Amino acid sequence: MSSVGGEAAESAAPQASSEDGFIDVGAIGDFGDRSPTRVKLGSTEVVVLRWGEEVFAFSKRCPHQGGPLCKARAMESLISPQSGELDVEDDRRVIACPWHGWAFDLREGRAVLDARMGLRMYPVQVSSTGRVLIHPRRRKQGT
Amino acid sequence: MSGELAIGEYSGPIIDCSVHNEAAQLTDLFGYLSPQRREYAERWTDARGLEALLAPEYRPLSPIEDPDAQPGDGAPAAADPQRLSKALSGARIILNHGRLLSLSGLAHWELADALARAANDWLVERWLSADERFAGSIMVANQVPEQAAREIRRMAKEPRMVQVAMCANGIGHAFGHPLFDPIYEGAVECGLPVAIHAGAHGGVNPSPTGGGRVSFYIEHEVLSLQVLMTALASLIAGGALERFPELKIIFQGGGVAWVPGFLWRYEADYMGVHREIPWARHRPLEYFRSNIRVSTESLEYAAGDGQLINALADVGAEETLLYSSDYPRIRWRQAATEIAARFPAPWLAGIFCQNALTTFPRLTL
Repeated sequence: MSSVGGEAAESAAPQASSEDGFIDVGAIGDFGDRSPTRVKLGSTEVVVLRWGEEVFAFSKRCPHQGGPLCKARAMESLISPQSGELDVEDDRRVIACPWHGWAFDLREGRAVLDARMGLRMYPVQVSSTGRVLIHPRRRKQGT
Repeated sequence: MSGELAIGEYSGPIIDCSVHNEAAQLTDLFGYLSPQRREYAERWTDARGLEALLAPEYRPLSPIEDPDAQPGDGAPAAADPQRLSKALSGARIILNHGRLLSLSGLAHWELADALARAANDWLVERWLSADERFAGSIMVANQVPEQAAREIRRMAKEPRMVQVAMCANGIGHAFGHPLFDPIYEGAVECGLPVAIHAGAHGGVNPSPTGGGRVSFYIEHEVLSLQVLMTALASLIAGGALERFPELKIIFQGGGVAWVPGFLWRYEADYMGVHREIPWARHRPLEYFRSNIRVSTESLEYAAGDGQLINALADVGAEETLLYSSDYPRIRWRQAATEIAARFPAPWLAGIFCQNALTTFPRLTL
């Protein structure tokens, strides 16, 4: 896979499909940390986001108004123990759509403030050799 | 105490949540001041001067009170308990003060607090004793919220005082700022909702309009809801409704039609910028339904009421609106019949009575 750094970069890598349907979209090091990257999975286009050693794949359009999630911001989730105080919520990672700021939990896929709305999330595996594998069939929300 | 009234499709008790009673002369209150404070107040101003100080931009331009509500001896409308009682016969009535609501606009914060205390004692002595259907509002001067909280706790000992009343903003920060917390803390502790009334411009108050100062009474009237919008935005974003989840706020004097559009906008923006105010854990509409009530004065005209009703239904108006005649304002006679005619029949019991009973825990029929 060629370099895919940059917010809206697009993968042009040759893709190989494994027996269980996962598609190799590149080496984990090809994905910039917290930099959303568009990737084609056959006829489907998804966004891949690496956050440290963890990799997420999700639909390219925001379910709110269709904003381009390849330009989403990856952020820590903030909580407030009491009004006027801020803290980072442990172990929760979110992205915010560039259009209206709707935030989505990257592990659950659900909108942070409206559980009825969510991203299409795709199963991701990282192989022992550091390859990123994505299944083109969407994951059930919340799994 | 409150009889059954029949208005349109509604038949049952009516609770009138905002009636503006007046003192015949504002200087009547001086008799309820301490001797030291009275001596100072009498040297400082007369009735006309006090009135001008309370609402310099607004009052002289206002042609809006029902002449029939005036006692005829030169006193302002709604200054006579018997006349008021007769006009609003059958209803349970929450007296909400009149010109004095503007006390928080006085620069002299100590005198404002003294006058608020005097007005509350006067209300109990002169008004609550006149008719058992009358309930009272604890007026506070909010320039120094700790003083206001003391007054809330003092007057809460009178069980017929059923709410805290504020109008002008004596600090210059919106009502959700933590500076106001002592008032909300006192109100919640005493089981009292807090009414925020539109109006009371001038004095130390910021302009009621965000786009610049206005000149004419009609501008004040149609723009008064800006004050309520500011308060609602601030109460949610500032976290006051999280710090005091039991707090009930009643918005008065700005009509009701602004509420849906404002909340729709707030909902949209909240979803995008919640990160700025993560302490506001609930969506604006959820806060509105749980903590905010809106009294019906002055109800807007609408060519197509269906649109207004649909919009109001979307924000839970059936459970959040409170009937108010706004006596002695000029439209008080039509207030109840307008509501009965324009609102869906299943809403009327809530608007006329049940919503008030849940909002004012001290109030009984």
